[in-house]
Amino acid sequence: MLNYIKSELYRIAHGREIYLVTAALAGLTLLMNLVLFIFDRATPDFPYATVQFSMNTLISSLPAMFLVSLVMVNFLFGEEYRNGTLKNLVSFGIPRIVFFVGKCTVCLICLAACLAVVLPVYIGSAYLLLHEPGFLSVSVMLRGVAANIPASAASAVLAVTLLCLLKKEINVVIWWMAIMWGIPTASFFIGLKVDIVEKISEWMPWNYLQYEVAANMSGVYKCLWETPSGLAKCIIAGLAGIIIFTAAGIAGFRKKEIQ
Amino acid sequence: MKEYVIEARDLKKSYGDVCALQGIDITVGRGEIYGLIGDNGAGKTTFLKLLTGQVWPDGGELRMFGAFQPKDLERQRKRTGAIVEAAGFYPRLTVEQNLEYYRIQRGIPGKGRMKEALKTVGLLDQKRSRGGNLSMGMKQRLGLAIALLGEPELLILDEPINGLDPSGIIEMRNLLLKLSREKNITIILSSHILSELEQTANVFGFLSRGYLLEQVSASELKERCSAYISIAVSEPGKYTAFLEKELKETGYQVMPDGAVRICCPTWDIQEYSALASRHGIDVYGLEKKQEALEDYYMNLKNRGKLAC
Repeated sequence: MLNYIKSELYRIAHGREIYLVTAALAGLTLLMNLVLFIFDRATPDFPYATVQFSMNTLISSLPAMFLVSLVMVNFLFGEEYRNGTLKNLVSFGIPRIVFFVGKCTVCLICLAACLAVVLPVYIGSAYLLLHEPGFLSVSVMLRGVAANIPASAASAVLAVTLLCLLKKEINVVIWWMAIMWGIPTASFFIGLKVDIVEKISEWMPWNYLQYEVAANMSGVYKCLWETPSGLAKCIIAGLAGIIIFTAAGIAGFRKKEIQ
Repeated sequence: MKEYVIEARDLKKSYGDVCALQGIDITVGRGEIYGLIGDNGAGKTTFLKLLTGQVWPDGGELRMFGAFQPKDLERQRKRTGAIVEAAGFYPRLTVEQNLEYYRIQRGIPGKGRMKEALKTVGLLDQKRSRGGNLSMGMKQRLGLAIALLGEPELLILDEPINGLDPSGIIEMRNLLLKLSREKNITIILSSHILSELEQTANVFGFLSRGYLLEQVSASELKERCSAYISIAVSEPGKYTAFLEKELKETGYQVMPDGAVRICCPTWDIQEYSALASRHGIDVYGLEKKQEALEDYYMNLKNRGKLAC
């Protein structure tokens, strides 16, 4: 397992995918703050050129972290079938479970590395370009990101699972969207009529990050991770996702024929 | 007692309704170069995929290095190197980086073996080229270098000369012969180019529509692919009667075009034309031929030896 992880890290370090994704994400956050800065200069009394507004943007769109996981997995492992490298692993006698778990681990390491670059760029550029210190918003955002790391990891594991099972990247994206967004959204609406479904849908990351997070310019935050029970919910839901998707991945990939 | 690296017994594999392998028995001894021969869809690649663990058999038994349990087979695959369909590598990494990736993955200490593999396949000068920028032949060589990195005891190669230029084909042939001779590596390879296989393999397996028609050693094949005389005459029926009566030849065959093929001729070639002349039979053509692997394969197929 360790050898596989080391080899993947070697490959990723010598490739350009991780640098591209990280640069794109960091660039995006920088661009957002830059746009606010330019509007501030161009428009008198522009109210949104604040660190708080910038942080609130991410706080209220934390499911974006899940999408980042999907993008990262696709960039890192998206061409395994096309390159014929997956069949090499099998034919060289590396157990499927080893490289499935190895891929998940490598992906999480890469996501952590990416986050370690993007967050400082995001916060740093906000402080450099925008008004008001907004310490509270930064700390709420950081706690939100930390609380949702397990759910993001689950999203990455799901993407790895789908990539190992499906040949085409477009199918991976479709299935990922169906599981991460389609099922929670459908459950939410069914839950309006059926109580048990409502209870289940409340534990789905996409839903609780949509409906249990409120951040506004008045500086009042109602974010579920700010309460112990809400934080526990984020962690439990994320860990459950990791376990479910890992089990599904191992079970499915063990039987998968690599054509 | 002969040591077998691969033993397949009644091996079956289907893809949906399509039977790719219909219960084949193949044995490959240590140090052999085994050539799999067959048309498209004969089951060659499927058999190789079963060996590499890419697909699972539906029935029968597959043993590699004596192991047959799935877990044990997986372990034994560490002793193999393979290229099935196309060489697998990362196109954006250089040749050297690709090998380093697999070296780390397979836990091979030191970089000496990487250099040796590159030297063996003749890619040392291209080590800084990106995999994706290599020519088709170079890509095949890179795949082979990756396969050789773990010092395999068994090499599984699917159409290894596909895309190679003439000198590349010769180099690949010499390389495989050298690996077999010097390192006693067992090689199983498939190819459509029978004349090439004839020069490389020392055991042949003829596959057709999922059946193994025959497994034969090169020496046996040489005996069977014996010389024959083909004589085109005006009255084949009359001629064969005299052939039996006067020259005591019974090993002949009247071909669909009317030519008489005399297998393992016991007389000088002129005797056969003289026989026709003596009885007033016109001779349109006379030649002595050696049956090639291609002819043997076609005959085998046409004889309807298969039950499919």
